[in-house]
Amino acid sequence: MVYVRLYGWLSESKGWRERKLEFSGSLRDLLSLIDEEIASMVMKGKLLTAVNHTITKELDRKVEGNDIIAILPIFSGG
Amino acid sequence: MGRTYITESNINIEAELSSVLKVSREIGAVVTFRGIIRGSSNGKEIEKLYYDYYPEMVEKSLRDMRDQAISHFGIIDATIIHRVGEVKVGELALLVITVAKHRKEAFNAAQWIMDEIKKSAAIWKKGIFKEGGEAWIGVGAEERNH
Repeated sequence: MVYVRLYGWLSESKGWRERKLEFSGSLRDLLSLIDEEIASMVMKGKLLTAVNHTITKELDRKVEGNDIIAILPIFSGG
Repeated sequence: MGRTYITESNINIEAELSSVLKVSREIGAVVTFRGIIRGSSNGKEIEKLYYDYYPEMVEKSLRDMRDQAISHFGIIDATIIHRVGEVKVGELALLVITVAKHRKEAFNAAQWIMDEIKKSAAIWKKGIFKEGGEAWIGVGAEERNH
């Protein structure tokens, strides 16, 4: 089971915060499975991805059981 | 000791200042930055901001910022506190305190921490307007607002 979380305007726009999925494969394939628009925005650098609380750009990396994948808009704190 | 955390409650500036000043008798300079919620954004009157956040990432990044500020700028310590959830106009949203032997490193570290928070803290803000309506603020958010 992997956990996928959305934050900021993305979470509001898509209408969910967290989903649990039976999945084992690449981060790229996971993004496409979740939402093609999200996958496209990640590819274009408009969204960031994190695996287990660390930002990653390695879309070919494997994600699997108990990994927490977060999809993040550009930060706007302060 | 300087502290780093996020909170949904008001920040007690005096308590935080008192705490970080106890760190060392070598402190000769203190820089305090207080980020306050402005009353308007793009010509619209703001009632409050809502800060969404990714807890695990924010907490780690604030700790890392404090550690890096100490090692890179040679300051004695730093406190970094960011409000999350709803914060009303006029309230304190961000407190950064740097303490050092001399003013230059305290100023430089405070400026660097402020820039890093914008770049590296997993926090997103939404303006909630007095006249009704709301809008996410930041790169990529504009096209999603309605």
